[in-house]
Amino acid sequence: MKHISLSYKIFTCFAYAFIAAIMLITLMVFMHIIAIALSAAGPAGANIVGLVPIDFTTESIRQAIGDPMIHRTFFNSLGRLFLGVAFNIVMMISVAYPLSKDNSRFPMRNFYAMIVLITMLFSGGLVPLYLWIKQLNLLDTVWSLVLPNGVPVFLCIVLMNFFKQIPADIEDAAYIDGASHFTTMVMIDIPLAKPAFATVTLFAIINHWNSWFDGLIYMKSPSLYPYATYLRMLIERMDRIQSIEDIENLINIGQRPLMMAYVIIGIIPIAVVYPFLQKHVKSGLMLGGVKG
Amino acid sequence: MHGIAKRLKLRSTYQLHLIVLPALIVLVLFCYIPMFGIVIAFQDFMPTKGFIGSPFIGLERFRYLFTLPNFRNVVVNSLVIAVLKIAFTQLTAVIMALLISELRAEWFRKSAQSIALFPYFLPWVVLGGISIDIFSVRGAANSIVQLFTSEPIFFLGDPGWYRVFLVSTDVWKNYGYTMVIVFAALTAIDPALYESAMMDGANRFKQVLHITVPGILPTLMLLLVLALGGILNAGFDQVFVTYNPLVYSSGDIIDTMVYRLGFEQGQYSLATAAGIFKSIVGFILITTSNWMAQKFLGYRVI
Repeated sequence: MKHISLSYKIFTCFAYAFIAAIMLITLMVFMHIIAIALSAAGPAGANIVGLVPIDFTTESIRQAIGDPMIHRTFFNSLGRLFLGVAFNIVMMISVAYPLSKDNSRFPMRNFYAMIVLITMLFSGGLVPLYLWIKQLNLLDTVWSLVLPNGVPVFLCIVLMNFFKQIPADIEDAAYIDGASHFTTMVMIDIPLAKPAFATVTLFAIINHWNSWFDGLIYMKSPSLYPYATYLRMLIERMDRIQSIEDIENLINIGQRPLMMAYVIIGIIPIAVVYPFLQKHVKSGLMLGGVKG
Repeated sequence: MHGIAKRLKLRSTYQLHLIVLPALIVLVLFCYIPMFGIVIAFQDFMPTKGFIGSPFIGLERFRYLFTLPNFRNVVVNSLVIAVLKIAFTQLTAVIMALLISELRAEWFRKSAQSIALFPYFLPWVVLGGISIDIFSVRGAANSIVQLFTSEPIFFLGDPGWYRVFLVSTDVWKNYGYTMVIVFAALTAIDPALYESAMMDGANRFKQVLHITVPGILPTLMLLLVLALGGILNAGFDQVFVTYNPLVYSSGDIIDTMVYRLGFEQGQYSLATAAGIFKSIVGFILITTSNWMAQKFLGYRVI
């Protein structure tokens, strides 16, 4: 039925080759750092490791896993993750459910929506927030990592749009049967919104795992850092040769496999949730209202 | 029936107020109160005296900020880096999305999307670690450079190359996400349009030019408008993790300067003033771009 011209066939072949090449580059980046992490310090430092480890050894991985700091910072990360995500979920419901009602059912809706949205537009900036957290005596506590980002506005909007799609008739029926707003929310809307909760929860998890800057400014001692902040501290010490003199000094060359081992440990949790995350990205985007 | 409808309308909302209350408390405590903290930009703030006790000095800090020799440089850097990042990310995303959507093999399209999107979820501490390793003088990038010339390139030490490094690694991290949005716009195009174009004898290239491109244009405009608001956000995380004093001239941005002023030098008032300057520019841009989106695209972003 369809006539496909020769030039289009050639074009398709090139398109396949081009896309495949670009994707291979991305894959090779990750293969390369894995290869470095699994190589001996000598060949890695001499920059002869490509995509396969040379003098294969798990020494660097074992050394990284054996680092007592990694245990502590991993534990800190898990702590902020559980507390922070649980707090995020409660806050998201608190914002999304009432704001999903239209103005005729909840006359104050637009006022509250404005209060929430204004925080997306204005902020006092880094320093005032820091001074305030300090004044509240929250420095060096997990709450400094949980509370300032407690209400993730973008995710609230995603969840709110999902609640909006639930037909109001269901609620009206429940109300006529004597259910209060709170009962309807707990018994009907939240169970119906399970897919949306999966989406926003995954994003909240990623946000908490990836945050490193708050740990850096609110935590005074590295033993309180989350893992991402600890990783940043290690990277700061990483060898970045910037001039001829640096090459001659060969600073920290032996550290290379170890550094990549730390980096890979930071990637693993994201790689594990990625298949689920990816599935939700599309739906999350649509729900969030970024559409044509 | 009418009676029930009316009763539903008049249904008491006190529980809804109760449900929204916890979030309001958190927002007031951690967003609204810190907003008032900007007063320290107008004070000679001394941590021992606090917000109330520090003497007011008006716009003195702003005047000082604008006379700082590197302030202009930092603003220009932020703008240039942000514009380059926005332009190249969008361009890459659109080209890749159009090419991938032409391909037949479902598994190939799916895996290409999966691979492209993955770096988006990695934080800059991870990608910074990777890119510093790859772009250092003894890294993989320079192994390739040395196939062509014997001189190594100091990606992380040469001001010119540092910008190339910033923009290209940022595009690599983020284009996958924009691509997913473009794909969503592509699937929203009515297939009947293509069929009738085919009937009229339009070849694939003409179909793309006259149906696909106009079809995704509103989405692209919307993304552009949204990006305008963040035009002074040149990517704090990336720059902070990868920069060093050698590349301040081309890579230092407003946010990194705020960090150094506030947290390394303890000049709280000055750092806040710089932050306010950035917020004002960002606010003006986001409101005008929102207004433009509403006027030209009929889409309310905010």
